[in-house]
Amino acid sequence: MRHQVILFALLTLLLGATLWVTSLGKVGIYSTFTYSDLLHSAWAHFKMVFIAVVIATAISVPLGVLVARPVFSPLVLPVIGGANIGQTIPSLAVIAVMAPLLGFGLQSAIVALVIYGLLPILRNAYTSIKSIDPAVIEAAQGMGLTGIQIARRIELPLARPVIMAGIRVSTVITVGTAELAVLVGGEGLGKITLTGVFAREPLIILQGAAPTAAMAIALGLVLELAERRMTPRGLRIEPESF
Amino acid sequence: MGVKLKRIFCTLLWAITIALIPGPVPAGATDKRVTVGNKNFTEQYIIGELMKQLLEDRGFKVDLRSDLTSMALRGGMESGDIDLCADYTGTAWMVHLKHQYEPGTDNNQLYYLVKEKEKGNQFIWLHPTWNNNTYAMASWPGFATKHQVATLSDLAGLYEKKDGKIETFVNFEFSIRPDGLSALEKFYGFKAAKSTLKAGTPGASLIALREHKADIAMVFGTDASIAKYGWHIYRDDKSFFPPYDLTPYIRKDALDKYPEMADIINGLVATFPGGGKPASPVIVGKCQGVWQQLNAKVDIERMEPREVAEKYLIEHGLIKR
Repeated sequence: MRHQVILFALLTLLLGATLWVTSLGKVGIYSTFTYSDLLHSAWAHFKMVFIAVVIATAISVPLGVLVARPVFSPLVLPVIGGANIGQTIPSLAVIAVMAPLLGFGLQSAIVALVIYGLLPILRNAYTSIKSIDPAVIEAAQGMGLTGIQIARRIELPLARPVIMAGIRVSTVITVGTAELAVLVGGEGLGKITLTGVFAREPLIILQGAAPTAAMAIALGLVLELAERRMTPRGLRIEPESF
Repeated sequence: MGVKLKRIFCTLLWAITIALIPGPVPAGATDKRVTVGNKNFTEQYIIGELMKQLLEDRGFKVDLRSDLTSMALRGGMESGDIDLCADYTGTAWMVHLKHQYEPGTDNNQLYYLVKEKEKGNQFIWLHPTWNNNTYAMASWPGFATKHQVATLSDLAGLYEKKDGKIETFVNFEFSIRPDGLSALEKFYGFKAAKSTLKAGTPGASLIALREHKADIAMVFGTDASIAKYGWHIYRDDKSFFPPYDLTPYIRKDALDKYPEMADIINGLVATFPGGGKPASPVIVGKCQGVWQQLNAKVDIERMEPREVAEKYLIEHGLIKR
């Protein structure tokens, strides 16, 4: 419970800072963004993150579960290793490379975000299956469950919380990376942050950065809750400590 | 006795200290030193090199401080680290002198206002090049003819007709500047819809226009791409945008020391359309064209600003090689 209280306090602080700068109306010679600008950018930011994470999940969960099967074990190195290498490339570079490849616009931003968001989900999906105790599977087989029954009733419930954790990590990362989307013709809160950077006005930077951080925290909290819900009761660790 | 000794000792120390302070260095013909500064974009690299090479040809030793931000350059001029630079009349009036710009003030009026006010800061503004590197709204060729719009007033009408839904791209900074988009909208009476309005880096607005991702984009008056891609520039028929004429100015103490500098730099300005005489719309247009070409040599032909400046000075007979 403790860390959630801290996160809620931080969330309030960040939203307060955003509202404060917006209410100033003017900093130096520049005018601040209005509430409707802010809402428009925040909504565009959320939409972009949502689309990217959904696509990244749709690709990496099946892929991760698949390579975890003994049959596909030769693919582990290229797939997981490849995704690992992908993650080491700076996000700015991934986004910058997309513009010349796919043209200028939202599609480049989304593709870059998907590439960058793949790894945490892929790795967790792979690990979730791999880490299931073989004894549990054997016991299920001993009880006469078929392969499909094992997958549905044993493996999936056990793997779900770990997969969800991957999606949560990926979402939080993507909220931050999406700040850069505006550089290749996308939209989002990066527009406000980068306007502040180009105008050399720290308060405008804050006006874009604070709501972005708030969005990352809020989505993190929501997905953490979902993760907990999806954990089979027997696997939950001390509900009080949560 | 002790007191007397101490006094003698102190006097001696003072005498030695004073003797060690270097006296004024005589300013011989070979020792004419000036520091020239320029900002951090193409046109500024060129004007910095133009002034440096010309002054060197006339026997000055020039220290060029290039790539400065607007604020750093002004700071250097104020502290005396830099003697000569070229800045824009609009920038001086609004940013350095912190005045409000009255829409309708023309290039000549603004130049004289700035020149007058700057005397009080011990800065002497020399003759202006009328290149008016101001903000402008541009379209890809064909868009303006298709919708029969030529001026910003026409464009405002088109925005109204389309409920503000025209793909528009502006610079990050332009969206919050006091002489930026929202003020422009208020002045001409239109509103660009949020769903079709994007912002980006200065380079990105050029890409957006080139790839037809935007129909209207913010550009700078002397941008090399305007000439290259034949973009339509909407005429600012109600004079909303302040003039930004590139004008050399010099510290008064440097000019007092080397009065010939005024003639040398004004001689350079004289090679541009208008030649330092009062501006007219035709002269401004011609001068913008000259600077678009100069900028294109660096931005598109990838020449060094040093070479561009040298070629220009030789072509106009200011230096011989």
